[in-house]
Amino acid sequence: MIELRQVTKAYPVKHGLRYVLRDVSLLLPDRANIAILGPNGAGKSTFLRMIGGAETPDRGTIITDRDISWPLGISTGFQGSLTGRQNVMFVCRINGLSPREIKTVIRQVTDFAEIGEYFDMPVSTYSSGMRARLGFGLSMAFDFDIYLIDELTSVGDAMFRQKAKAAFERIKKRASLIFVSHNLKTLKNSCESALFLRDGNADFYPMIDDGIAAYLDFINEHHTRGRANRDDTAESKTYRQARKLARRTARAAAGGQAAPSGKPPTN
Amino acid sequence: MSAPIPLPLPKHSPLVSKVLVIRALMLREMATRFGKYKFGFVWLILEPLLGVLVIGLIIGTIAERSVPEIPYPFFLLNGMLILKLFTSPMNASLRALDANQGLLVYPNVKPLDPFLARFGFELLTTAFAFLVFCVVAMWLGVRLSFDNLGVLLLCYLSTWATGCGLGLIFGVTSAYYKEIDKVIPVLQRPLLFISAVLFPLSTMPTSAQSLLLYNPLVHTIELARNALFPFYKVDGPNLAYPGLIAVTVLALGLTLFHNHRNFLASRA
Repeated sequence: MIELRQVTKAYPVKHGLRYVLRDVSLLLPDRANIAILGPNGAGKSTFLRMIGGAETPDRGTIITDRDISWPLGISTGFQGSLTGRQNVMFVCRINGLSPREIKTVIRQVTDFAEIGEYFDMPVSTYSSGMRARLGFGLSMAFDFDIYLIDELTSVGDAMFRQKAKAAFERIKKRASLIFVSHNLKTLKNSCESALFLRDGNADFYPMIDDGIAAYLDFINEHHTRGRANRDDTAESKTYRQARKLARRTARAAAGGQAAPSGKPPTN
Repeated sequence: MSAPIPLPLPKHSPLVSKVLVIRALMLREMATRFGKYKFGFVWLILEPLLGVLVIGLIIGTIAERSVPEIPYPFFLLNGMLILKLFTSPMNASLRALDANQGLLVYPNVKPLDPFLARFGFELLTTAFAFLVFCVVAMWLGVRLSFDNLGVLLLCYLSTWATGCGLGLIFGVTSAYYKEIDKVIPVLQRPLLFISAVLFPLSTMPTSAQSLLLYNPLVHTIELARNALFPFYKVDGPNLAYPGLIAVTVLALGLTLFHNHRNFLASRA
């Protein structure tokens, strides 16, 4: 269980502050895979970093009795000037692992990542797919209760995605996920619940469909309002996707067989 | 591939965890600093020595006469090492966060840790260079005295602490204003000439001496010489002044850092 008690967090932008959370109290349940929804810049990544303990709230506290991973993303967790091996060694060392344990971890990471001799080259030379492989492999080597995933599955080749999907299935047997992605389909496939972040508020939806619906309403409203400004491709892609999903849900509802919320659809 | 068995992360007390993090960061520092050279560790000694060699060749012949008590290269080296203890924590600070940004995502790595690791690293390498310097000096028959080891250590350590304090101050400032990175090296350049590194303080005109004594480095460098070389006499420098400055600057730096730690963490 993760509990947020009157948490406020803002980050500085050019003029003033932008609030990620403004006096939010919240209880995130155990054993639920949670999708984090929100428009660009709502602070989804900052939220993950806070849950992971890399950042502290400006005010309030976050309490948990679970082992939470660091956020797994393509741009986080590795120092570009160090090789993959040195990065892995660093994580082992700060956790005080024995040489034998370090050896095991390195074997597991190399087995999963399959990046060959790149393992001994600086991470700055990696492609984003290789970074994802390494990051995923590293976190898989450790036993966390909750894994924080930040847009990790949107990169890499088909083989990696396949592997990642299988790994997710394995993880979900023993741990839960808190998942940031702009791909609503991925989220729907992996999560049962949703947390919708916007303007410093965080609304928790036990059923992900409700969360997505709220998110879509929000996007819809903003999209029509800002139609002149259409260059935000990521957001409009989400919007298109969202519309498709909404249509499908509506059709399903009309056909009398509403999508079984709470359980991810199997497709 | 068989499914890997995930390893539970061991729990440590905050103190042990801090030691582990600092140690890992220092090892990481060593890997990038010396790892790319064939005989990386040799450069530990060679770096300050080369500097001394260049300056020694240029100024040594003139300056030698002003310090009859000590072979000039050793006179110079002692000053250079102390100066290095002052400037290198500052320079290391400016890039400490950028160079470890990716590693701050791990919850037990706090923004201050890269700074502490770099400070420790500079102290260790200088101590190592100093030891080699002593061994070589004694091997060449230069008379060194270790009767005032306490004073000697305080001279080195207070200079280092001042450098660390300024490093923290500039490290925080640099996170807000990147221009600092350009200014600091320029400001450091005159230090070689106003810190009595090249000449003994006593050879300067009296009016200049009283001005130079505002520089805490003059105190520590001169006192260290006095402690290390038995025949070297000093008049004017004291330990209280650089000590007071060290404590003040370090406290200021830590306070400033503490007040801005959230911003520094979010920047990563």
